[in-house]
Amino acid sequence: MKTSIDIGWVRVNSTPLIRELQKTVSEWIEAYTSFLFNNTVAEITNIQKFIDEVTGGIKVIPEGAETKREKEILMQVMTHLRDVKMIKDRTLEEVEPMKQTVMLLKKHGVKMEEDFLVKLENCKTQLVEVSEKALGPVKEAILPLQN
Amino acid sequence: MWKETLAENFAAFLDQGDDPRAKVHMKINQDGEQEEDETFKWMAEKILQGVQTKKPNLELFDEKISHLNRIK
Repeated sequence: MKTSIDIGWVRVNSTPLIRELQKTVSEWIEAYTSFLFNNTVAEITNIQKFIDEVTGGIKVIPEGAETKREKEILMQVMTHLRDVKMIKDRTLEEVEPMKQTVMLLKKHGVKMEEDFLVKLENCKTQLVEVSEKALGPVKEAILPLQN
Repeated sequence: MWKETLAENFAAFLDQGDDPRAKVHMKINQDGEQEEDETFKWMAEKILQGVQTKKPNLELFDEKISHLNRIK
């Protein structure tokens, strides 16, 4: 494309204008892509945090429910079990739309330091595993203590 | 001038979408009656912290970004 044109005695050079327009458009693209990226990263971080909380929270199961300490631990374990039961399925439903978002960002050439598709798949597997453990053997183990 | 309106335009773009947080999620209970499904609220409290949920669908983002890339 011709960027310079002579009109009578005036030479018009459009290069600086084109450069400025490209800069502005890049800023707009950045606004849209970084919104999607930041939202997805925040959500993955929250899922990972939840998995870590539950994993740590169901590690110790009290042997009885006699002492104050045992009752406290039992309450904590029960809270984790309730959280898993309430949010597991909804959280798993979030994974596919997040994968679609990551693929869209890749399509538009957004550079990502990590492979978020792999990270999401790992989150999904870990969430299923910890949920099965929590609502299976852990729930069974604390059942006699709840009476 | 464009720099000033980018934030406004982007906010208007996001505003086109529905916010699942503002919606009452329903389910059918064991008696076959409709009742509020609270699982979304529970999930949102833990998993959607710091996540902007009022936004249009992904196709609109794709259209917009593709359009801007064509201009560029």
